[in-house]
Amino acid sequence: MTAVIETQQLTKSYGSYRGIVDVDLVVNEGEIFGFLGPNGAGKTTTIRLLLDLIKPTSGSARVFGIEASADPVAIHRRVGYLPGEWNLYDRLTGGETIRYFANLRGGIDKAYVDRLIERLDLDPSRRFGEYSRGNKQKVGLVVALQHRPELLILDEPTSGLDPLVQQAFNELLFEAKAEGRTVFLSSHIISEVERTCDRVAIIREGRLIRTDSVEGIRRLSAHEVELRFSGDVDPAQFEAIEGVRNVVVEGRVIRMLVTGPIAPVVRLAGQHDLVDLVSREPSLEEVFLSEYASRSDRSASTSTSAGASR
Amino acid sequence: MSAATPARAAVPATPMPVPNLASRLFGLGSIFGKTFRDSRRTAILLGVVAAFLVIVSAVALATEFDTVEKRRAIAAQLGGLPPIFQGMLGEMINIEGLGGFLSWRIINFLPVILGIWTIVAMSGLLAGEVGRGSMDLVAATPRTRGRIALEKLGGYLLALLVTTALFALGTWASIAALATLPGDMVGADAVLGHAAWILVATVAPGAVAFAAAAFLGRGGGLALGAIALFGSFLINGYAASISAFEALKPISYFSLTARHRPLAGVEDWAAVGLLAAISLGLCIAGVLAFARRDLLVPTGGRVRLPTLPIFLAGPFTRSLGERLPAALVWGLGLAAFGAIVSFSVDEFVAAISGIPQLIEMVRQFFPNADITTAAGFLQLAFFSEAILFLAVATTLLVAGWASDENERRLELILSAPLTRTGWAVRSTLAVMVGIAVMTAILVAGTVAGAATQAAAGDLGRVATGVAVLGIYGMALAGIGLAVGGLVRPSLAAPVTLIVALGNFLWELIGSIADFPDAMLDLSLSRHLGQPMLGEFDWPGMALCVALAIGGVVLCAVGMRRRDIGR
Repeated sequence: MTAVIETQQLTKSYGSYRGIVDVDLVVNEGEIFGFLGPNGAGKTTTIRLLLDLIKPTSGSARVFGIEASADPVAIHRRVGYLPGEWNLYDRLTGGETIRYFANLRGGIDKAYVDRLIERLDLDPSRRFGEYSRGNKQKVGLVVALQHRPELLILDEPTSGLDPLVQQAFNELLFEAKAEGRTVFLSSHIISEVERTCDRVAIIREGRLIRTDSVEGIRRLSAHEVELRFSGDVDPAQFEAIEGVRNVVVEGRVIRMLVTGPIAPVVRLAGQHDLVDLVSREPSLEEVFLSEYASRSDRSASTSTSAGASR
Repeated sequence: MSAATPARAAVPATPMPVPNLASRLFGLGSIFGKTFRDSRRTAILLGVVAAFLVIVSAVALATEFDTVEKRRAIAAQLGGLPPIFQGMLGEMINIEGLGGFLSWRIINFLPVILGIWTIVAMSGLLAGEVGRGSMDLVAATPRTRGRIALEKLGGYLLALLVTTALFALGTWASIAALATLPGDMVGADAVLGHAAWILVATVAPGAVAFAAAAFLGRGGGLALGAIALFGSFLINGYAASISAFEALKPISYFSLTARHRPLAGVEDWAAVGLLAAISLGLCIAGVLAFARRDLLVPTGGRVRLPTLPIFLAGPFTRSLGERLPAALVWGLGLAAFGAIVSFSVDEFVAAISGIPQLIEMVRQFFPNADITTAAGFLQLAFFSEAILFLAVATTLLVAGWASDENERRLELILSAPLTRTGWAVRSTLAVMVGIAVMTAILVAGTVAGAATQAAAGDLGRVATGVAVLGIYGMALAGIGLAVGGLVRPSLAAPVTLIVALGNFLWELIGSIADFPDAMLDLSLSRHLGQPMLGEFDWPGMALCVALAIGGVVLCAVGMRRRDIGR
């Protein structure tokens, strides 16, 4: 598989402020890659480094095998970009804005642009300054998509879009993937990433904490298991099984989180009068939140113990 | 290191037509074209105004002084006055000829008027777009950042060239039509040579602003550009009268190029070339900085002052907190100017004491004036220039007020339990207080300078005279705020500046074209009296106060009625 984006120990600091630290990232050709993290985690900094809008403090970022700071123009020629926070020219209409950026690129398929405008339900005759936030976002999406780039870098792309347009946008992403193009999608809307992405990276406080397929992340995470018995059962037996935690008893129902194989739990439950068993795979959102919660707990306990030792 | 991934071949089905040459030069076909397109209206307007000023001046001179004798007489009369009475227009060179007179009387001032536009535009060429948030999208297109910067710079310079060409056309037409006396006729080469100076001298402060904005942001670039523009002009204008300015002449680009006046028959291409080279160097520095630095809004490492809790207390104090830094900076700059001029009172008194005829002559015009005191000197040497600078500072304070709505903060503010009228009154009052603070600092600086002089005279008169400037500034702000409140906020600052410059130019044209008093009196600045001399135009002052208060009221009425966020 060809890596379209590849960063090695990519680090950016803004004076005393943290940007990102030692980010190692690989995005392969033809995949939709989700970049998850809360506000301020370093998603936008990473993207701006990929496009050479800012320079790295250390490490390297390559896009299409080209060092970002060595030949950014060669990269920009093949990339469509929608920033997270942006604005355009209030006095131009949406159509003029789109035409201006088309002119800056050249060789745009006009029929395709017209189709994009139609699919995103954009009225291009109004001035940019008069648009609602969602309509401005549509203009930005057309600007990013109109030249059918090999790599789409989208920072919070669905911000302000209504559900119907979001659906149209998702279809555009899948079409891009079907055509073998690559999408790098930064978001904190986890359901959106779960719906559209093949692989996901989670960034926290400037560091990548996990990169895997959506399925892989789910697999590695705990299943929520609910066991209903006809009589009382001692929960301690389940707590003793490796990978089982958060055991909660409500009458004759025992709930637990199970990381790893579920078979030992099922075997033990079968030794009792089991009425019902429900095992639910966690959503990406639950994984994300539990990942953050557990890391926050860990760092809190680390800092507490560090504080105690001082 | 892995090899670059080959680009995928993608042949569009119906390619959009490649932008034609006209679109790339004047339209949306390129960054260059769009930049020119954005500036074209202002460029044409300023070019027409410059040409109009030259034509009016030429007509006035040719009709009023239509013989060689009359020309020689006026040249001798003007040339015999000490520099302080000759105004800020620099050395008189061959003013008996039409070209020389136009050069001295009106054209020498054009780089200041055009320079205000240049520093505003060039400080924002790149930094403005970075601040707005559109540069990320532009920079992600397949163009190097150096090219983006060069295209934007080139587009703006083309617009400035259009302005200069219109000026040159007006000048050439005036001279061709009105050159009736020997020495009046000058060739097209002289017109072009003069236009070249206008162009270079107009670009110079803009180049300072452009280079500085790459490091300090748009505000910092604007401030340094303004210092370069007004500082150079004042140094050159006052050098002959005030020794402190004489020592600073080497850093003034107006002084550097003072001997290049082709319309008056003198050329100094070396000086113009040097200034052009310096400006080019500054522009290159700005381009390189933009190309190499992170694409972030630059803060220039400026010191962040702590926010006092009082500035978070409500709309008035919040607005005041926003306006106060600019008011303090402009106040200090103006105070330095006032102090330096005041420091020269003794020198001036000593110079004119030996010329009793001169004192007599001045008394004919100002019978109650004692020009051998600080107040008298400041009325002659300070007031008319300070009024212009204060107007520019007032415009920036009004622009700050308008930014609450222009930048969409107002919608959030008004979501608080606060009436629109309440917000409008309180925020506009903060602008007025900002002007008052600025004026108070100016008064302090000017009085402090005057107090060191043996001929200080009545310092209270100095203080009240300078304070009148503040009332005029509040009147200008009132007009801008009223328009901003009634129509839309983006008009507030331009209207304030247009009224201020309009008053200034109206008086200038009127004095050249010998307008009747009734016409000249349309200028608000004519209605302040001679306050440094203790002569107050009370109805005029009342009008200024009414404009200030009325502006606040009209702004509040407009804000209550119209849609927000227009």
